[in-house]
Amino acid sequence: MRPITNPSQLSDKTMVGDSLDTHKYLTMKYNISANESASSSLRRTFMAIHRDEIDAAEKLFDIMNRQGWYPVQSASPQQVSQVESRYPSI
Amino acid sequence: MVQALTQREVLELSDCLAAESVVIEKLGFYAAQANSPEIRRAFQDIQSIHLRHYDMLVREMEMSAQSQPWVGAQYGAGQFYSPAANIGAPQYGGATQYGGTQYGGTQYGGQAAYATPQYTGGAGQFRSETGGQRRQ
Repeated sequence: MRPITNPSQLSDKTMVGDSLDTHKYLTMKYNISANESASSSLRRTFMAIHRDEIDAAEKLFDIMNRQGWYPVQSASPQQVSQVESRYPSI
Repeated sequence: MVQALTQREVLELSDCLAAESVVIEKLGFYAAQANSPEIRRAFQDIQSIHLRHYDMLVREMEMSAQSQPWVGAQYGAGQFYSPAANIGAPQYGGATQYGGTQYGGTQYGGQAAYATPQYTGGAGQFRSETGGQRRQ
């Protein structure tokens, strides 16, 4: 769909979508920060924040999904069984 | 005894503080713009989580600063990030060498380069300003 260009107003959809993108970016950022920590306590701090970012992203995704702004498609049984057959259970 | 931060840790912390500042500011703006009350509430709730993150990251910097034997000895006039100045914490100095890496004058020169988020207390009452009191 062609974006509507109105410089003075952002739609709710645009704002929630942008916030979701931001949170996806933040989760990647904190993942790296946690991995680069030498101190265990700092690592825990980054991990705790990382978790919060994922939770916030979930909240934003749920809003988008509920509003029909972020539709998802279920996998077909064929697609699932195809992967299953490639990786037999151990 | 708190360990001193590594150079990489300081870089990660300052990067994350910058990212948190932006998202705090953005969510405040979005909350004000939102049409749906539900969405406005969501923006406000998430913003308050980020304000807490910001404080957590600042505290990590402060704890490390207190563990340094040279704290108080060689601070410059500038500030690394301003909120610390208001809560009686050591300041990261302008031209001070921190573990061989120079802060202030480079990325965070002076006070103007880094807009400090200000949280005035009320729900959604977020505004950004450089310097000044962060919280009463």
